[in-house]
Amino acid sequence: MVTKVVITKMSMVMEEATIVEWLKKEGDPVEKGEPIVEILTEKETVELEAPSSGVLLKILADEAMELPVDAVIALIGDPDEPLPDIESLISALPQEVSVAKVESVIEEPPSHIQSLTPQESIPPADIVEEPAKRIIASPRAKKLAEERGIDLHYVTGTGPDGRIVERDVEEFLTLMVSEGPKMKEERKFFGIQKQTAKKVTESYQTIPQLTHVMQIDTTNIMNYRTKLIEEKGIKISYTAFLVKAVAAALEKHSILNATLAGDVIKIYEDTNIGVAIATPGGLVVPVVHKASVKPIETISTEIKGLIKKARDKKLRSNDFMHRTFTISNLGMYGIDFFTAIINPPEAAILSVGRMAEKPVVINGGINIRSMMYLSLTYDHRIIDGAPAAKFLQTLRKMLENPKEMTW
Amino acid sequence: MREIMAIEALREAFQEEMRNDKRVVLIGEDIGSKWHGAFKVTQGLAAEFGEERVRDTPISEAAIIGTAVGAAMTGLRPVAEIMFGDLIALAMDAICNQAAKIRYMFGGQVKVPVVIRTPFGGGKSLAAHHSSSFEAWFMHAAGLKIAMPSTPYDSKGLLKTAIRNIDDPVCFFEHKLCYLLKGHVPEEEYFIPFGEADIKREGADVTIVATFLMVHKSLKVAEEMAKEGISVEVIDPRTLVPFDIKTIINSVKKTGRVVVVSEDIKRAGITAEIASQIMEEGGFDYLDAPIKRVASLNTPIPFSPPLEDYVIPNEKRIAKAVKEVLA
Repeated sequence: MVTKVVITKMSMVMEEATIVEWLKKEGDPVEKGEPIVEILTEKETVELEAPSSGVLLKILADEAMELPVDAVIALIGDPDEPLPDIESLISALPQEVSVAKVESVIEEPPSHIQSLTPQESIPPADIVEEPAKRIIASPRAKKLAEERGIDLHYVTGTGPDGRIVERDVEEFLTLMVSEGPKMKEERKFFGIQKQTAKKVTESYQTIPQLTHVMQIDTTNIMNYRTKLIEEKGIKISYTAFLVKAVAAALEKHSILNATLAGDVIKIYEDTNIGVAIATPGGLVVPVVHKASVKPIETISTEIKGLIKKARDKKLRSNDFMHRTFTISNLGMYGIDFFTAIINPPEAAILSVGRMAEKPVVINGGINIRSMMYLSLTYDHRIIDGAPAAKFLQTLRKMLENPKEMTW
Repeated sequence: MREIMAIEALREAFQEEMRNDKRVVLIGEDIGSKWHGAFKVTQGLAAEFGEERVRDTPISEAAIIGTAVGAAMTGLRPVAEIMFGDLIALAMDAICNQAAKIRYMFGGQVKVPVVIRTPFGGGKSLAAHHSSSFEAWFMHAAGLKIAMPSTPYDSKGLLKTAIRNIDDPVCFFEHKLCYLLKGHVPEEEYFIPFGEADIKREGADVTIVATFLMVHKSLKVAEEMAKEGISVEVIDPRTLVPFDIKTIINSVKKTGRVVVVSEDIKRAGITAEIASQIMEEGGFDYLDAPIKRVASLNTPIPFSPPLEDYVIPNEKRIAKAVKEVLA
């Protein structure tokens, strides 16, 4: 009896496997249960065992071939046994490889094939197949599973020797109708959320992004801000300081104020800074246009207006247009440090953490200073590490020395 | 309702049928006024109906059955008794070649309304010639109807039907240890048709199909199992031919698990036939476990009581099989 060696389904999700290495060659005697070939499944490399004892009569699938579950990869039988129709078995394997295999069979047919006349060949139907993995289930369990459309591959048997019995199918059904974990609500995945998802996916998949991290001292800017409030009664948000400083730094390092689309890198003079705002409907990034030329008071007012519009869902398309750089700030949530994903086609994005008092060593002494992390994620296709670092350097200098800045 | 023993129920059946029809006659060894039968079933019958109708015979099973078959062909409705079932082998030709085939071979011109009674079964340490259960031999022969009651009620109702309503040879098998069991039997006349199984106990988890004394052993097991929360249904087919597979299949649909229990030898025994019928007649798709058979070991029934108990199925073996099909 010729037994077919098939790719066995090793797990529920397994659909195909790759032949890694044949551990036996044609003509080798094999024992039932003996490993004969290594295959690579989605998960791991495993050894496939001989389904019966005999001689490995014919290897049908070469190493490195990707094969579906149940594909016939070899034949085992008695040494002088007539083989079934090899060609049809090979042609059942994935096509591109099978052509070469058919030729090789025609060129060098093994001796036992040469002696075959068509009358002697066994029609494939007469071959007793060793099933890939027979599901042992009681007729009652099978009937119930069929009636309820259950694939018994997914059911664990608790009967004698692991037989699937009625109670196993019933339990599976109970699990199925219980619809998994208790749900609070179901939402549609659409709108801003879906668009954002599409963008971040595209960004993550297509842009080689690197991140530089720098901790800056914000003690001075805090004092500067307080002084403005106390002396001039002007309340400027930290975001406004950031937007203004970033815009100014971008003027000096304009490669970061750029977009890459197709084969064109556009470097901008205008510094249109997007400010990421979390809203109940999702993340929005309205823009402060030409921030570098606007006074800080204007920027601060504009940002307040944009936040209000974002919360009221009143942002218009011109509020989003022509963004050249994005700032994402999670400091108000107590986040120390994080990395953001670039908004394509922009070249970079700045992530801002919280300001927190830290012990800082200055001139050999420990001082308590307000510190903050900045992380700059940039498109490494058009920005090298050094320019990105220099940008952060400039930004730090501006924020740490507010008195020297023209706000 | 009154409770009487099976031998009394059988005797009543004879009294009623012999009073009803003069053609009903009894023939057998020591069944008459001198000894009243080995198990006293025929006690008082010779006195009431005379020694012509309750006829003692020489010790020749072939003669008893041969005579009865001839009498049946010529117009009587004889009931022949073989004192011990093992000895029925001596009358096999008369039963299986003659009685069973005559109506068929004469194109329906002759009928053979004979009832052949004999007790089967062990448990009394009567040794290998007086303890066997040969019902499978007769189930295998074409042309015979077979009753094997387990209770007084079934004994009377089935015997009356066999004598009065069946014009073909009936093998009416009794069990020695069921003879003295008491049970409800109504005063008024009743008949039990052949081919109707009786659900002796309703249950939901496993079906036991049992005959003869095994019905009672199975009921005890069911009682014990109930304490463990296992609900056992016990079905007594009551007649092997015709066989009520429907009732059993309906039970299998409910429980999905079957144990077939019989005192005859397991190899090619009635349990094999019953299990096969369950598979063939619609039970297969409803089975949640392979059918288990509990039957006597493939040996003659031993004389030694411990060995006899080892060979014949007991409650322990039945309970074990029930647990196994429930695994």
